[in-house]
Amino acid sequence: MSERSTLLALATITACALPFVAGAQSAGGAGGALPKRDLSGVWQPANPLDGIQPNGARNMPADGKHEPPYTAFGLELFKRNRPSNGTTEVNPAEENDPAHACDPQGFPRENLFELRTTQIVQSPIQTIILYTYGKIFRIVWTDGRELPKDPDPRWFGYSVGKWRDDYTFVVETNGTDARTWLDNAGRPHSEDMHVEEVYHRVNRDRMELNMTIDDPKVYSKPWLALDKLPMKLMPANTDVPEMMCSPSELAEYNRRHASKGEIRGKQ
Amino acid sequence: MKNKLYGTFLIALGLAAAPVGMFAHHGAALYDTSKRITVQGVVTDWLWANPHCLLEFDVKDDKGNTVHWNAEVSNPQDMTNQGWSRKMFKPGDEVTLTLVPAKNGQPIGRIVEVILNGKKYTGMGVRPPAAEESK
Repeated sequence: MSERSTLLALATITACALPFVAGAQSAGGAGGALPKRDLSGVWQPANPLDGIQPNGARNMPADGKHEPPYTAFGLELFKRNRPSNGTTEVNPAEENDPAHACDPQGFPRENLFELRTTQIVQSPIQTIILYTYGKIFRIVWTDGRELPKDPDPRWFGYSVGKWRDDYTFVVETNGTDARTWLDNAGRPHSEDMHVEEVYHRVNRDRMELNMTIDDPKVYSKPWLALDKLPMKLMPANTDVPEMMCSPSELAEYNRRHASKGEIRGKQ
Repeated sequence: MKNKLYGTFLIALGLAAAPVGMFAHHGAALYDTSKRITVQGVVTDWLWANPHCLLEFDVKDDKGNTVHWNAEVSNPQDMTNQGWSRKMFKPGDEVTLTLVPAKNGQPIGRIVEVILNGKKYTGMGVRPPAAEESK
C-alpha cells in the first residue's frame, strides 16, 4: 500500500471512530466515570522511563539479575545478537541491532523499547494503536476473527482482541518476523512466538499493561515482559509526536559522533 | 568567528552521581560512565536530530591547542521536554559542559549538564523532570 493510501485509510478509520473517541474523553473530568469497554484516548507511561526500557524489557532487564528461560536453541540465538545495551553490550562498531540499521523494530519490541505517547482509537471492529516510535500503527481486529494459521511473517504480526470483562482488553498476536529482536538487550524470538497483551483500565485516568511472551522454541516457559506497566490518560488534545529512525540522520550521527568512540577488539 | 576560541580543559574528574546507562540506548558502551569531566568551550555547531542531538565545540587544552569536541544528548523529543530547543545554541556561544567521557580518550562525550548564558540545562544521565512523577 502506498504511503498516500495508508494515510487515507487511517484518516477514514479515525473519522469513523471519532464519535467513540469524543464519547470516551468527555465521560467526566479527572476522576470521572470509568467508561466500559473503552480504551480510546491518548496514553503514555506514567513514568516515562518505564517506557524507554534501554536495557531490555521492563520486567526482564539485562542487568545480571534477570534472565529469560532460554531453551538451548534460544540461548544460541541470543548469543548471535550483539546489542549496544545490557549485560552483553558491545561497542557500536561490533553491534548488530537490526533497528540500528533503521529496520522496523517490530512487535513486541514496539512495547518494549521507546514506548512513549500512544493513541488508541476504537471502532466497532478494530482497535487501532498509534505509536510515537517510528510513527507506527497496529490494527487489532475485534470482529471475532481468529488469528491466522501459519501466517506469512510481518514486522508487526497479526493481532486480534477480545474484552475479558468491561475493563480488561486482551490482545493476541502471532506471525511476527524473527529477524526482529524482542527488546533492546537482544532477546530473540521465533516465527512461532505468541504474545498476549492485557490492557486493564484501573480507573478513568489509569490503565495497566501486561505482556507475556510464549515461544516454546526459544523459551522453556512463558515469561512476563511487562507486569502492570502503568499508563496514564493524557488530555484529549495531546499530539502523538514522531520519533523516526532516519537512515540519513543515523549516518550523520555515526559519522560525527559514534564512529569516533569506537573501540576495536575486546573492551 | 567573532569570539576567540578559548577555554579551560579538564577542570574536574569524578565519580558518577547518576546511572547514565539507564537513559542511554545508542552506544552506551562508548562511555566511561564512572567519570565526569568539565570543559569550557565555544560552540561551532548544534545538530537537532535523531537519534541523538549533537553539540560541536572547540576547547583549548592546557598547552593552548584547540581541540574539537562533539557531545551528545538525547533525541529532540526528550530534550524539548527538558527545556532545550533547536535554536538554543549558535556558533560562537561560550559554554561550560559537564560530560561523561569516552573510554577511548577521544574528544567526544555525553552532556550531563551545560551552562549557557548563565543558565544551567540538564542533559542526559539524569532522570528527566517528567520521570519524577509518581507511578
